[in-house]
Amino acid sequence: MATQPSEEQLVRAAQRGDVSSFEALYRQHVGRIHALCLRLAGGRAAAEDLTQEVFVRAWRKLGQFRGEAAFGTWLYRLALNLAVSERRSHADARHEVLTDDPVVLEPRPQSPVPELGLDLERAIAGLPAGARQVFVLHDVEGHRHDEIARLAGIAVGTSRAHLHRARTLLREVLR
Amino acid sequence: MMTCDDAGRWLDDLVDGDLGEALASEVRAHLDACAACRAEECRRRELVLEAASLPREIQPSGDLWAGIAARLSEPVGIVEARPVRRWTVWSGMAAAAVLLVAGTALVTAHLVRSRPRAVTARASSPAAIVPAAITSELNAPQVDLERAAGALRAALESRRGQLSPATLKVVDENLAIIDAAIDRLQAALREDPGNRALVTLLTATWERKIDLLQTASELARTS
Ligand SMILES: [Zn+2]
Repeated sequence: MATQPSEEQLVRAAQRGDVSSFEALYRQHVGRIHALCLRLAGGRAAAEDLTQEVFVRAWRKLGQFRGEAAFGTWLYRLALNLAVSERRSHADARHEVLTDDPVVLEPRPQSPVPELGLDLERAIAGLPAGARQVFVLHDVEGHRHDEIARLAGIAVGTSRAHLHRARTLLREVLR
Repeated sequence: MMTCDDAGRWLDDLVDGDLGEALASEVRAHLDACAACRAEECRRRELVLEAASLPREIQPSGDLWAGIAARLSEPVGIVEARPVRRWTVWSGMAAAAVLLVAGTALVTAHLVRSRPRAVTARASSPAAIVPAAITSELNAPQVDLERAAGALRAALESRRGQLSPATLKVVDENLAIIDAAIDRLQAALREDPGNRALVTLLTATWERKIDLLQTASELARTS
């Protein structure tokens, strides 16, 4: 009786062009990649597009995977770069300029939407893009500010400011 | 003794263990003496814990493999050229609109009081401020965005019947909030026509409206 192929065997077969091995890799990793994309993109349609894009690019770059890290780690880095660089190039970055103002950070006396009972995932999705990205990378994914700053092309201080803003807004929405 | 404002500024770094020992013990001394800041610290720790314990894996609602498989044989050039769809925020749209407008109101108030220079100096990233882009926004005001929003609004009106009452309610509420923000910004701009920061914020608000209308139209089309 044949045993399940190992991940290494699947990767090698996929590198030789075997689509069904790549599909097996997709099935193993799609949940993790989609969770990252969903939170970074802040919306389901965009997250699904992004997830598909990650796997299409992974297929194209598979030849560059040398097995130094686990395949899942390699795929995760690819997703991270794609999600963050796509956002960086997006004109939405401009929206962040003004609302970085500390005035916005002042605690407000009343919760904006107490009756909606937003849970954390929905509240994260509603954050402004820059604050959401840093919150997801730092508090959900566990990256450090210097890593996030490098990845997103922002200053470490900006990353800290986004995190402070994200937590403050979430605290208000989830109150 | 540290003030509440000072302590608040360092609270996140304290929670994350990113503060040097000297500063950390100053902040802790304030927390020992101040129940309000202690409560805030506690809530932030809860939030951080909750975020860290969110599920690591979330399966997509539909199977994405067919769409991926169809693209694996595409020539390289096409794969590279295909843009990822513009981010849309649907699930959190209500929160997004509320946050946007809460921010807009405060920033508007701030901008009307002060000079925009003070604000733009805090730009989040170097790429975020491109003087040429801002200048062209000033030269070509919101006409195109307004026209695009008008067309989308008309398209949505013609498909209202396809949306559920609950969805329609969220869309209408958010449109009202965004329209009110646009009105406020336009009024502020009439008082201070040269204020670039207001122009940028108004553009962002128009774009938010277009995003909302696009998402709603898309939902109406596919539901
Ligand atoms: Zn205090």
